[in-house]
Amino acid sequence: MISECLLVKKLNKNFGGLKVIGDLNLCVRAGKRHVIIGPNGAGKTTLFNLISGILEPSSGEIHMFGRDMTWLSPHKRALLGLARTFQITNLFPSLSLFENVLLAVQALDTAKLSALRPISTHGRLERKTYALLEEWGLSGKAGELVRNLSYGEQRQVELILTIAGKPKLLLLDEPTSGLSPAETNTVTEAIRKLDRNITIMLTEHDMDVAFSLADHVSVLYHGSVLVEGSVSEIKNDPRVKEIYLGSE
Amino acid sequence: MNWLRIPVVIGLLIILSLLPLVLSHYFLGIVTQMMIYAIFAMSLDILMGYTGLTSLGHAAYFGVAGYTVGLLSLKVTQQFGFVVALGLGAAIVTSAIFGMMALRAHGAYFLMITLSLAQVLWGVAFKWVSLTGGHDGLPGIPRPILWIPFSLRNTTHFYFFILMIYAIVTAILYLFVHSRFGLALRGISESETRMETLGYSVWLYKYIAFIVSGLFAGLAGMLFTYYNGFVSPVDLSIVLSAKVLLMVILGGAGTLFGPALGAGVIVLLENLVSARTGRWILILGVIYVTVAMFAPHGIIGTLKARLRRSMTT
Repeated sequence: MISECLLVKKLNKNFGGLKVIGDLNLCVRAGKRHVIIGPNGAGKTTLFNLISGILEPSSGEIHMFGRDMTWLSPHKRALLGLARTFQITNLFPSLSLFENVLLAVQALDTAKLSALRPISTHGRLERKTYALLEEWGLSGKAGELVRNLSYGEQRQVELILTIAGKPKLLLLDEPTSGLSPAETNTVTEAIRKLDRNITIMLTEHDMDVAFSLADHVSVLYHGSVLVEGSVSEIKNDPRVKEIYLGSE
Repeated sequence: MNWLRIPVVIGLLIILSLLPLVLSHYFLGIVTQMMIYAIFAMSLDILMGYTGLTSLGHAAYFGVAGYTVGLLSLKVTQQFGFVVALGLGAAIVTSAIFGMMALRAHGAYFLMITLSLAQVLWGVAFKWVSLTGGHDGLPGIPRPILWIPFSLRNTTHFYFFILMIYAIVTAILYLFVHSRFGLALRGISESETRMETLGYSVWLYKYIAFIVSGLFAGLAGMLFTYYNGFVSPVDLSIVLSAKVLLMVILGGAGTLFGPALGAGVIVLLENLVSARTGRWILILGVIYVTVAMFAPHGIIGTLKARLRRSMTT
């Protein structure tokens, strides 16, 4: 058993002359809820894009599940057990809710290559899709186009799509951004209830949410980790107060 | 509305089978053309409507297969199986090469690359006079001889030959777009990053869609060459690429039957209008502007939206 699920070594990312990630080191242990916080522009979303493979690093290494994945394409990382949500809702708006979830359910199944047989309504994968929707209390809306769902529901669909493939490592990029307090509670509870075998790394603007979920916190500042530790250590760290509130 | 589909399809097939009893050879020829262009338009819809890749060079595969059939039939052999295999092979090879180049780009850039690649082939057909006959094209291409007791030189027999192929192609494409693979293509047209992070090799899916699309465009090109007995640079031209694009837009991209309907309307109009005036392309432009202004989702797309709205209220 490898205890670290994700290992990032000396990661760098430049956009032209702009250094967004600089010599970043990070270790996420298996089964933990690891929260990344940091002020705007600290490089949180860039870090997520590098880990999920949407961006290529300028230098450095990314290991997941004991394997070097620095240069692997995003879909190969997904097939090996990585899943992510997006800060800006990224779904299939003109497809039905059922089709959205089915795409995630069939993604890790070889049946997805079937090209000359219409999708039945009660095949193995379709039953799995309905079960997932049932579990999240959305089965009544299975036939609706996702663009007609409420924003809160769409954020939930983001989560459903990522856990549909039973990932080992889940990256959640601001799962509660733009939600009302009530919706934030729903989503936070949903995250809390996720299988503890799934390692979760998330960024969050809402500190109450971040600290209530976290086992471990890393503070990102100017593209590298400034401090890390448990929630109470972070809350009492003078450097964290300084970057969030400014020095006197 | 799904329960309506089967009786509608059977009804259409019966009507199409009975048409030779009522139509003159002239109009039977037009319906034959409609079906060939419908295959062509549906092939483009796989790429455009389902995968979200708008190509303005689809005549390339239509024309390459057409020229292959023409050259083989005139200069080598008329053996049907051999000619068809090579014609389709040419379309597959061309789309496999062009796809590799064009799929590096997105949106308008993709459209421009497909356009310029097709123009290269048009240039070759136009300039390589000793092989292709240049501007004059290749006349006198014979209809295929099959292992059936009917001659395809007969308009009615050829009509049924095309009807049979049209029905089979429609069935195959219908299954294709409603399969898991087809759903993945629709996912890609909505969000490539989401599909990629879910575990789909987006590039490979687009590449396969590109080749499937090219293959059926090639089939249409072969049938059209047999129908016409003639192939010329027009079959590789941007005018043809734009015409089939308009068929898809007019009928409604992403609906499969829409582009088939669009093909029917355009072919009928072209034949009726061209008999009276030489300004067909101008009228094609007017149709495009009208559709873009009043029915941007095409005939079937607009009808579907209306239907959905009336059902929810």
